[in-house]
Amino acid sequence: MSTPILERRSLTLAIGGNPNSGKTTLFNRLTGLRQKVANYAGATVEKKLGQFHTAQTDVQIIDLPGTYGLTPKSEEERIASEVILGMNKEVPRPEGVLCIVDSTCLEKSLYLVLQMIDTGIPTALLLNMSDELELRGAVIDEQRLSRLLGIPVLLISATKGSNLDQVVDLIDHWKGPADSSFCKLPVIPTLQEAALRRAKAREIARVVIRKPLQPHPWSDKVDAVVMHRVWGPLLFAAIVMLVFQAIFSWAQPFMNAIDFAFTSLSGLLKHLLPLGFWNSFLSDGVVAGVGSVVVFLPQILIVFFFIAILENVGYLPRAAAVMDRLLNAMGLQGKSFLPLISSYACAIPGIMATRTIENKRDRLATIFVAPFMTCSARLPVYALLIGAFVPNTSILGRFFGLRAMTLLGLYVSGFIAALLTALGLKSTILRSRGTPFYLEIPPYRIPAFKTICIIMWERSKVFLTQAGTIILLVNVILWFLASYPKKDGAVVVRESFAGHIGRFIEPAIKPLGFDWKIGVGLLSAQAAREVMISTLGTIYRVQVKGEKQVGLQQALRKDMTPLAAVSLMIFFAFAMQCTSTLAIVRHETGGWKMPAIMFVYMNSMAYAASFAVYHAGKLLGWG
Amino acid sequence: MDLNFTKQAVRQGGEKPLTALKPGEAGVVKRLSTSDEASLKLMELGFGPGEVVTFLRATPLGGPIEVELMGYRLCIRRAEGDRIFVDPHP
Repeated sequence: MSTPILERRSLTLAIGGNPNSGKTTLFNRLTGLRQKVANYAGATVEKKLGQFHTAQTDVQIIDLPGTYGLTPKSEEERIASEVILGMNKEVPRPEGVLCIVDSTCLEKSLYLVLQMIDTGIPTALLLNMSDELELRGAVIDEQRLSRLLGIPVLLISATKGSNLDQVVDLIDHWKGPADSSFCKLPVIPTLQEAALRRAKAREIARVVIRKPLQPHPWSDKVDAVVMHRVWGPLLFAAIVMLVFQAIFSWAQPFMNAIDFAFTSLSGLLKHLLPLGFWNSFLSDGVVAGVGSVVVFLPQILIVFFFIAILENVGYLPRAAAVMDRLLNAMGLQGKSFLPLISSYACAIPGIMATRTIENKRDRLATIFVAPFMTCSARLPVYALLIGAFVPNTSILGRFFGLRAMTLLGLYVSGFIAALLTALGLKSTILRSRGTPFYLEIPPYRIPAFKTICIIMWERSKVFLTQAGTIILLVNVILWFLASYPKKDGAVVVRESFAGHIGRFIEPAIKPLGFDWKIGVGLLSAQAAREVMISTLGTIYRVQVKGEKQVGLQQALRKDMTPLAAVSLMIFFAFAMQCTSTLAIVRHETGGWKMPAIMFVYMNSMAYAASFAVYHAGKLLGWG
Repeated sequence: MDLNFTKQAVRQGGEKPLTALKPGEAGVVKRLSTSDEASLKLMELGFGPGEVVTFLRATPLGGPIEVELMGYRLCIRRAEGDRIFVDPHP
């Protein structure tokens, strides 16, 4: 007797649900790390595809953006409804939807469930967080719910992994559309129909919730402090300082180690390989380039370690609520705060952290102003120039000197530029049109270690692939420009391509007080701002290793007036010089439009500000 | 948005904006006087006519208010809260 050969079939399913309903956790549970993450074309919305295989089925899963409804008002809703209706060309049309809801607030989610069913797509309902439901003494009659809705209903816990075998079983026996018996409403409702759908959700919830939820045992007590009018902001300030400290100090030893490793490797290659093109290309171009990418990884990992924990515990929306009033005055919103603060370390993790902002316009405005925050790569440049040109005189007593004042002024300038830009954007092209601001406040939860690791892994991967490749490319190009053509076998910067470019742009930067050498420095700053220092070191033929920049400072003093130095610092405060930031913006916004606008806007502002400062200074006879 | 039955409530004068409730006080949503787009969003979030909403707390400096409805919690800005009219004594 032969066993019947089962024909494998393939099935495409979508996972839909409200934000924070556990969609991504389920997606990760089902697909492991076999997933492809990109953006929908021209959108800020992430497109996530994954696949897995059951005993009989090859399943492809599309993770829909989290929404409360399918009426296409926001980008997320537009994409979710397009995918479900098979109108999105970038993903295959799903043959069904796994609608996952937080079972502790069933009634809220039923609105979306009803709307999904009304699209006619075969739907199954997964009541997630069954463990929490049980813990809080609630009982939902899933059979009754299944009969009422006419679709399969399963109680699961995506975090704990319970009942997932039943989900797989359900997928293996996936059926066509349910024959729903109760009255259907148009998918895109009028206000009256929306009210009716809400009323229906309430009716169903009333019938199937056998025992209501007990209040969360300690959420309220914690919130009395966390959202207190005095303690709330103080606690938040303390947490921000911790994150700040971590990014700046804890990351440093790792960054030093990485730097050391790559510098050693580069030196080793230089030593081992025969002199010539490949020697220089590999050691100065490639290895140094890869090193300058990887060196950012500790900061990225630390930022996302904190953000993942704060978000998954449930603290982030609470902090955002507490901070919202302040940020709203700036035209932004509470969730913009952490991304902006992170940008003081580096705009790249800051921009990547804007994903927590659901509102597209607020998110774009936050991304746009993030690079104005004085990042840590500007600091060495400021330190060099302030040390060289600003006298160490004290003002306002012994503790506050002119140097500190200058540095503070540069930080404040960046912040004011961000503030005015945000206000300008939010009152013109990014004005929020009637979309109410809301923050869901989830009960406190202890995050799964695995979830935190996955987030850190995903964000690092985005950084390495998106920013990393660009940084590497820019590094290699700059290496080439600075190393060729050679003169008598040696590199003379003035005669290199970079030198030529520097001299070519000299007339354009002369009005700012810069000569061709600074021009080459600005060119090299496109790789990363602090690279300018080593470039200037090469041009002036002085050692700039570590803290000892005295040689370079002396050389600069011979070549530049203090006024030109101030002009240069102003330029650095506003200019968009970091190519990797542009690459990340492109990735996060789904196109080159935003980075192009930012590049033009910030550099025009930098040019205008430097020009104004330099010429005003000249008129006043300062230099 | 204006549903017919809400006019009655206006005449009875039993309704007030959500932001006028005291911490811990609850009311039944009567009407939303926001734009159609905002009303639809608020309804998706749960502010449908007939829903019970509890005012939990206000954040500092006139920031968002936290409310509870249908067993979940949510912060909305005062601008919206001022336009959600509830009946505290249904």
